[in-house]
Amino acid sequence: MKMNEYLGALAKSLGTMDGQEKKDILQDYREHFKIGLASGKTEEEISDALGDPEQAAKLYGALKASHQARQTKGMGDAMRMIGAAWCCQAGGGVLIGVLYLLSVAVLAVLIVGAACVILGGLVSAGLAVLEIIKGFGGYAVLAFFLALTLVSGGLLWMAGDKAMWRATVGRLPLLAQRILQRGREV
Amino acid sequence: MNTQFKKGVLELCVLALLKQRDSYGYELAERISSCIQIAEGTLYPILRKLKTEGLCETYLSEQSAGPPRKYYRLTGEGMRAEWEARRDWLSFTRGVNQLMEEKLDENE
Repeated sequence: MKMNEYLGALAKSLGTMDGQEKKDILQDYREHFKIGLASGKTEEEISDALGDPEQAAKLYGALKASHQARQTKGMGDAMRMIGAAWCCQAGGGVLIGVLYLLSVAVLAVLIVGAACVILGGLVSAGLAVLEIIKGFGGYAVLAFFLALTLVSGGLLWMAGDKAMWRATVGRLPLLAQRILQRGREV
Repeated sequence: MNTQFKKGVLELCVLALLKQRDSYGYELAERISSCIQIAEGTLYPILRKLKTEGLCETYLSEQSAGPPRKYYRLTGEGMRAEWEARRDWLSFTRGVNQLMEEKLDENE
């Protein structure tokens, strides 16, 4: 096959392709022929080595179709992934936010309670000291024990609050971080 | 040979050759043809596909004699693709070779 025959057959097989793309493709083959001719080969030798122009044209079509299919699929996958990740993150985020606020509110009440008890204990201690100054009476002993009980009870309560705070409010940001990470991995 | 399979192998050959150095279509065709039997015309669709996928890019190089040549150069992504294709090919051929040797052992 002569060069022009080959290019003609190729152009025909490429069919209804975008004009510029078709021109570029034909240019690649023309360059191939020219370099071959410059190195001393005949047009027939070169076109024999190139093989069936129709086969080449079909391959253009097939590769283009598979590329487009993969792109569309890839885009669909990406959208689904973003959607899933977003739902996971948003849902997880809202849930953790609500839990966080709830925990903070409950613990705040508990901490204030503990603080009040400790304060009560301190007031009792003050009263006990006053009673002792006034003269060591029954009230002094009562106030002293009351102060002891309230302060130690309040401190215990506070320690409990602290442990609960660590278990809930302290952990939630970490949990949120993990959920966000999971979202990214999806 | 199965065309789909051959297409994949041809793509691997092109990636491997372009990793060694930038090259133009005719040279790639010559180098591949010297080792395996192909219809050289199928090379250009593969080169175009590699370019569309961003695995290689092209530039024109003027020649003192003869027409300018369209050179192909691997991109960073092309380098990665070459590495993956090479790894897949090596593990695939190793597996096939092993299977064929097992068959021989059984016959002995």
